[in-house]
Amino acid sequence: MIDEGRFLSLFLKHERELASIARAFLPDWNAVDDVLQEASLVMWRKIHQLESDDEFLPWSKVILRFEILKARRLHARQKWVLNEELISKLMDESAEDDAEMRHAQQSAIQHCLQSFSEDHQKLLLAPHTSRGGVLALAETGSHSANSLYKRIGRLRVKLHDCVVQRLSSAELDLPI
Amino acid sequence: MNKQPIHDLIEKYFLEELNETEQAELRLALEAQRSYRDRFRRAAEIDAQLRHCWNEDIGDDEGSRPLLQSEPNSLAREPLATASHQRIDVRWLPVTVAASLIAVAGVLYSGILKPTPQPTIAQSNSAQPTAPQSVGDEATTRDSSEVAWLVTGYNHRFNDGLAPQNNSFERGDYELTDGSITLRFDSGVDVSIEAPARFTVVNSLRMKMDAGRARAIVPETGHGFVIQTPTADVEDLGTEFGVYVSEEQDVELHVFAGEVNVHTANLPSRRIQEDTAVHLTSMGTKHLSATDDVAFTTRSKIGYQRWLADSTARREDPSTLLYFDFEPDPDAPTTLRDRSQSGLAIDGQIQGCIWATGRWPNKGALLLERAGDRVELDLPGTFDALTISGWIQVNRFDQALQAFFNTRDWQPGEHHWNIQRNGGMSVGVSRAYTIHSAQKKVPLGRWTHLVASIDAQKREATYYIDGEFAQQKQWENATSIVFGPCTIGAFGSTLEAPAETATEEEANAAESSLRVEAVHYNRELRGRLDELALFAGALSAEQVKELYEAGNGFD
Repeated sequence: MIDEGRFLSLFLKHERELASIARAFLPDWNAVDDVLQEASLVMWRKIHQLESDDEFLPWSKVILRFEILKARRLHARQKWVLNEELISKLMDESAEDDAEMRHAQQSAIQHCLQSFSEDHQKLLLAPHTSRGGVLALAETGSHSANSLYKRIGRLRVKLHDCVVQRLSSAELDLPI
Repeated sequence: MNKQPIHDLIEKYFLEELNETEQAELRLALEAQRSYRDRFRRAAEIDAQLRHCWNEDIGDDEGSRPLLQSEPNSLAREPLATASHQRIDVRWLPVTVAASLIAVAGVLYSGILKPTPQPTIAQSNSAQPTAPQSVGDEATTRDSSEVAWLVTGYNHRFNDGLAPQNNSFERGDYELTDGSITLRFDSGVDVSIEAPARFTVVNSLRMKMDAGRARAIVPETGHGFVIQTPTADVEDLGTEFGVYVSEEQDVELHVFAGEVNVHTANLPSRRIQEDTAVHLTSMGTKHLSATDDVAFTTRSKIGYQRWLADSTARREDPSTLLYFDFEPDPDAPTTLRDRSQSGLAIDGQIQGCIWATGRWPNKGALLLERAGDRVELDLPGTFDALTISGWIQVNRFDQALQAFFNTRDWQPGEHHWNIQRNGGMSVGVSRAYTIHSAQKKVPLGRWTHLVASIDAQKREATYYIDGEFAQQKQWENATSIVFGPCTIGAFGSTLEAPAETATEEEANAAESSLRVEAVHYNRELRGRLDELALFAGALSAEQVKELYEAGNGFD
């Protein structure tokens, strides 16, 4: 049986994957942080349900799914881009990805990010900085925030394409 | 739909820049196409990783750019991938354990849907000599005047003029001169008949036997089904029974399960109980010593005969490179015999496993249940085109991947065949292609036919489940298919382990030549296997269908 002592390392191990799932269905990272915090509390309370480490990820995804849906109900007035049916579909399809594929994807993202120039890396990361990185960049440079967001969007598409290309060549070498 | 704008919309979603119209457009796109949803999920993962890349603890200097893993870490920061672990820290760690338990409604991800059998169109064979012959288990296009249809047959032949059209039985007389058949009435009743037999299809709840043997299996929908004989009518009350009418018009009734009513002119009806055999005469009934189960065929028996004939033909076919029928060799119980006549004699070595029953009661199989259960074999040569065909019954999905038939390791040109936890497939040839798909799934607890038809010259691979198309992939690299050491039932990966030495120092100092190869097995399969074959050449969809139908006549 898994105890609370094991919880932290399991949660840290899978935190990025859980965060990416929550981000897909919630409007911003603040909402994601809130939901992950709630979900982590529930997981902490129920960790004794698990028999082995392998069970953690599918189990934590179920809890996260409930917390996401709960958060959406709490903010029912907000207009959500994705409906619950679509969320279920995306969740189910996400469950088809195996650990090897996910690991390959994370490596590919790392690799591709490093292939961008310094300026472009800074732009790509700007929306995630704590104090309005894009606005700050706009204030210090000659571009408006709007045009910077457009450039970031294009860079993100390029980053995505790089990841897909790398995965398609890398997956040929993965044992399946 | 042009993909580029949708990709832009996906990125705008994660940049929180979508307006309402764009939101609706994105929603519709995601609902419509799996490829967009895959891209959306990947974009979420990239977004999460980008966020991790910014170490907020050192991000006070907003103008500074983040350090990436490949760069010198002059500021002794944590590597990119782990930097943000500080962000989660104790903020998310509960300090008290609440006692309230909310029921979590189960892990639902791996729900398995049993696919509905896809009906097929049966082919006409009247008055044609019939080699081991297969017909579809169901008919797709059925005539409104059709009362019953042929679901299976073995070496069957009808008399000219007294034959069904396109395996469809309308009201009328029929004469089966050779072989055996099973026909299914609209009411759901299956009647298996052996030649020689003359019979009349009357309606969906009645037939008449003039001569021959017929066995009826009657589901609830067919209660009241009647087989009319020269001396009495036999009415089903929810049962399985056999009727034999000799050329001399002697009639026997054998009730194998349930009860039947016998109606004879001028006599009151009599109820005949289970496990009873009687002579039916116009004067009444006369008990026989016992029912004779063997004397009346069933759909399953016909299916076994058909498979056996097909199996014999396959193993003698020079294009069959490898053929495991999973029948034990009494002299070598841990050897899986290659029954093909190819001369290669690539016997498998059974590790663990239990000999068990296959698709039919008298068909062998291997049950893989315990850790390490597998069959090892070594398959030499290179192939430009080949087909792998197997019958499998999966009992449980214990792991993310269960190996069906994989090479050891994953060298260029080697084929792997795994079943995902949800019944989907993870298959491919190293350096050529991979397929991860759950569009068509292997069901739990049901014998299932799997085929891979790979043409390395055309660079095209097609996969089938139960004779139906499942996936296809085309690839760029030129490669031939190879196997070498491989396993049925578990994936073996080679680990280089130091030879056993007295101390760690000695192990470290050991030359590479002293190192020994160890094979680690995982992705174990939990279920049964009862046939595996490799054929030279990539079989067509029609040939795969025939292969499936040849082995599909089981209950």
